Formats: sequence, structure tokens, C-alpha cells
Amino acid sequence: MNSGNVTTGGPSSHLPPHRELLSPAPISKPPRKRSGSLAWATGQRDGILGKIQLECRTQPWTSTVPHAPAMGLELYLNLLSQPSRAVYIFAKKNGIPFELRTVDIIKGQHRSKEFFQINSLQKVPVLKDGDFILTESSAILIYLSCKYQTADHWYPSDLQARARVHEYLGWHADCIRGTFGVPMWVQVLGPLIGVQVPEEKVERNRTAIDQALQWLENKFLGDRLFLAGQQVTLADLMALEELMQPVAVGYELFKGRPRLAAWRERVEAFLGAELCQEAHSLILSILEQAAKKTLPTPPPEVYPTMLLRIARIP
Amino acid sequence: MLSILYQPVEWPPPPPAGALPVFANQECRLVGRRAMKLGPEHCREGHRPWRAQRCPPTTHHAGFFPGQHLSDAFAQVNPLKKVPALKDGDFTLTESVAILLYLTRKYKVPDYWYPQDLQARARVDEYLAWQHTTLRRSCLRALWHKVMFPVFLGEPVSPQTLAATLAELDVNLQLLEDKFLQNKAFLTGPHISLADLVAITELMHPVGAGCQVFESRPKLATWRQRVEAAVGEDLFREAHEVILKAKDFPPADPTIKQKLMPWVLAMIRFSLLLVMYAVPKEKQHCQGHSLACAELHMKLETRDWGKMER
Repeated sequence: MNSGNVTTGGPSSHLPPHRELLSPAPISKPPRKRSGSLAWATGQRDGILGKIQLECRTQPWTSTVPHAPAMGLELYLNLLSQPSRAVYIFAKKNGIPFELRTVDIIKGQHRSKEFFQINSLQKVPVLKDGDFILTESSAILIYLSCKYQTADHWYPSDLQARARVHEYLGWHADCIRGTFGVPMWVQVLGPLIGVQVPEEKVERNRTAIDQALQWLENKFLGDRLFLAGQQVTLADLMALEELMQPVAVGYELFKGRPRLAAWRERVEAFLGAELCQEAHSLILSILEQAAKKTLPTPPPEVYPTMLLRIARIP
Repeated sequence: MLSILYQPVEWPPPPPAGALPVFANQECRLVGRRAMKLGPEHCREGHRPWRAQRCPPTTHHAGFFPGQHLSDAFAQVNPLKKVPALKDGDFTLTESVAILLYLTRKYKVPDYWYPQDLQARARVDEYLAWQHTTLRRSCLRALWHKVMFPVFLGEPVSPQTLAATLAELDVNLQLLEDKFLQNKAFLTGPHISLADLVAITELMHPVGAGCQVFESRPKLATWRQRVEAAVGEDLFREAHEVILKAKDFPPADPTIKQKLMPWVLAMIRFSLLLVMYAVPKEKQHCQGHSLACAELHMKLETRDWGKMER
């Protein structure tokens, strides 16, 4: 779960499997010393939060680059989290330079006093741009797309096209978010603290997932190439990362849904196979890690929030 | 989203020429036309900035029976069978936040509603995203568990369920105060924005249900006064006229009740389990947050919820 490497290329550079991301790697730039900043490495430098990753833009810095940002953008993420992956992929795909701050949510680092100073809601992803801190993945994505003036298709300036993105994001919050994360809780995270979710709930969740996929395919995708139009938008990114969660624990979401499967292939082709592998390698290996018992053990103070999340499963 | 009952109207009604139809329940009212009254909070939101600014659009539509949004006729407007829905020529749009943002941009309302400044706007986006799965849900549940179940559907709610729902609402109200409002005049800064509009309309649900939302929270109470003043007290009162009388709704028609029950049962299941986690320890029956507690709750899940105690 820790990204300790410093990459100097862009998304096109060779990416090691996620296990090797945990071990120290040679860095081409020394990490910036930030006096007065939070002591993230609290005696666990080899662990999760001790490393900083610097991401360089794929384009050289020139005067024609609008709003050339100071090197101060930090993204607090965890690639197990669906919205974190959406933010990560967006930043990497668009060559936005950022410092990656991986927050180990299984170990409960999002519940620490230090992280509370970053986000009192104790969730990832979080963006920190100088003194400006922003939570909520859709807000972060919109902020990044505007600040770094990414290609228009991501968050179209056209009135109706943009409305479609917001229409999807609204429905996504109701029907996708919270629903598609359940299989991960059932198969991996619940068992990690010895909780087994009843079969009745699992079945209800399957039904909810099926229904949501039906709406996704018929109302949002329809005959279009992508969810909010004929080009990739923020909507496709948010949707894809939510769908990856149950896929990672063996749900065959795209079986019998050729239009949705074709949409997924289009989105992944647009993002690029290497970026997808980099972003998805952790979540796609979660079952293997669980089987080999190599996942971290949640500390007792994290149990209440985990139990509450499981209790929320309808 | 649930519609509120009123007199039957022909559905779908023909739009006046040149009008921008905003399909909402019969409680939506817009300046200049006096044809709609606002019911569900989204519909109220969808018109207020323009009424307050006295500028177009001046469109309106539709009365709803409760559950009329579930009809096949309305499905032609919105296949998801929800209100609100906007129709602008051939362009149909659902989702309240999307509609609000569309109208904001199309009719170029004053900047403070949705600022051009990058960081100021991000704050509004942040609130709109956060509230969707938190405050909005708990406000809706509070209304349903305190009033709509027992009064509208004739389904009494157990004290534990209601306690859990109100506890969850309390948590989200605290977050609203601590994370968003803090010491500012409005949620995202010194000026009113879409965030305040969305928030206040959500909070009218539990207020309409008789919950003490503002009485024990002076900071929120003064914020409410500021929002009402900024919007205009007459408009605010008009918009919330119906929801504030939620307790007086007559019982639902049996066919409507049948259509709504699967959705409301899902809400009950969720809330009952929250009793163990959201209710303060001293009010809990179990010993606290432990695995044994979790096992007990999982066992509770095997009960037949159709035979809930009355």
C-alpha cells in the first residue's frame, strides 16, 4: 500500500508490481525538507508514511504552461480507496505534479491526530495546495481540472455537457457510492476483524449492484461512447474506480453487459494500460494478500468505525 | 425523491410556450408565474436564487400526487422516476445539484452563489459533495422516522430506530458546524452560496418533523437567520410552507404505500443497526464497540423485519 518510489518519468515509465513499491528505492531527488510540517514518519520510516513521491510533469516547464503551480501540491491518498484512485489517475494522466502522501487506512492512520489536522472528517482523498486543503474527490477533481486547465473533455465548459457530468455525479453519490464498496467489506475487510456479513445482506447488495449497473448502462451510457457524452469525463473516472472494487474481489460485473464492457475497455485504453496497472495493482491483489494473510492488522481503535461501516450495509 | 400530496392534476401538463419546465412537486412556485409550490428540498433549491434576484427563468410545472413520480408517464421525463427534473427544449436534466448548477450558469446569477474564484468554488463543490451522503440522508431519515412513517404510511417506528436516526442527525449537524460553518457567516465564506441553500432546505425536513435542530445550536440558529435574511423571509416562508406542516399530512393511498414500502424498509434496516453504533454508549444496550456486539447485531439481522414490533 505504500508508494515509496520517486518516479521521474510520467505514466509511461516501467512500473514495478506493488510489492516492490514497499521497499526503498533509489531516489533521483532528495525529498524536500519541510520545517514545521507534520511529523508523518512517527518512528515508522520504513512503513507507510515515511516516503515521499515526487511526480514530474511530462511536459517541460515553459512560459506557455498556464498557471504553472508551485511545487507544493500534496495528495493524501490510499489506492485501496475508490475516490483516491480516481484522483490519482487524473493527476498522473494529466501530468500534474504532486507529492503523494499515502495514508494507510487499514492501519487506521486516517484516524490519527496528525491526519485530523489535515482532514477533520478523517477520510481520503485530501488535496493540500499550500495552505488550501480540500476534501471530497469530485471537488478535488474539478479543482485540479480547472487549476491545471486540463483538456476540456474532462470537465466540459459547454453548459449542457457539464450538466451531464454533474447529473452523473449526483446519481453516483446515491446509487454507486456505498454500494459498490460492500463486496470488499464482505470478503476482505470484515473478515480482517472477524466479522462475517450475513448472506442476506450480501444478496441484497448484489441486487443493488445489478440494478445500478442496469441504470448505468441504459440511462447514462445508452448509445454513447462514455457516460456523459462522446468523450471521457470525470464521470467515467469516478465510475470506473467504483466498479473496480467489486471486480477486485471476483464480481463479474461486465459479464452479460457487452456495452458496459466495451465502455470499460475504452476508458482503460484512453488512460493507458500502464497507468491502469499502476493504479489498480494494489486493489487487484487484495484477495491474494488476504489469502496469504499479508494484509496489515487493524488496531483496536479502528474497530468502531469499521463496525459502523459494516452496520451500514443494508 | 418523495413527492408531497395535493390535488390531482392532469399529467403530464402541457408547458406554456417559452417556458423552461422544472418538473417538481406541486409545491414549487416561481416568480412571476405563481404556479408551483416547492415541496422536496431540491425543488425549493431549484428556484430560490432566481426568485430572490427577480430574474428568469419563470417556469413552472406540475402537481404531484405522492408517488406520482413512480408513474410510467413521468418515467418519460425521468426514467429514474425522481424529482426534481428539468426540461429545457430537448434537454432533460435530473439531480438537484446538477439542475442548480445548470441554472446558475445559464442565467448568470450573482457570483456569490457559485463563485468564479477557484478556491471559493471548490468549497461549494466540497460541501455539495459531502452533504449528499451525510446530512441529506440523515435529514430525510429524521423526517421519515418521526413523521412520515407513523402519519403518512401508518407504520409506527420503534423508539430505538428513531433514536438511532436522531443520533446520526446529531453527528452530521455537529460536522456541519465544526467542519463547514466554523466561525464564518455562511458555510463557505462571508457570502451566501449554493451550499447554504442546499443545507437549509435539507434541515427543514427534520424541523418540519418537529426535531430540535436549531434550539440547542445557537451558531446554526444565527446562520439560519442570516440565510433567511439573504434569501428573503417571505420567499423562505413560502418555500417551506408545506414541509413545515409535515405532521398534518393525511394517510397515503394503499397503492402508493405499496410502491414506497421497499424503499422505506431498506431505510428501516439501516437505521435499526445504527442504534448500536451511533447512539451514545450510556444509551446502548450492549457493552460498547466490540466484536461480541457485532456478532449480536449480525444475529439481529436474521429477524423477520416484516414483523417489527409496533
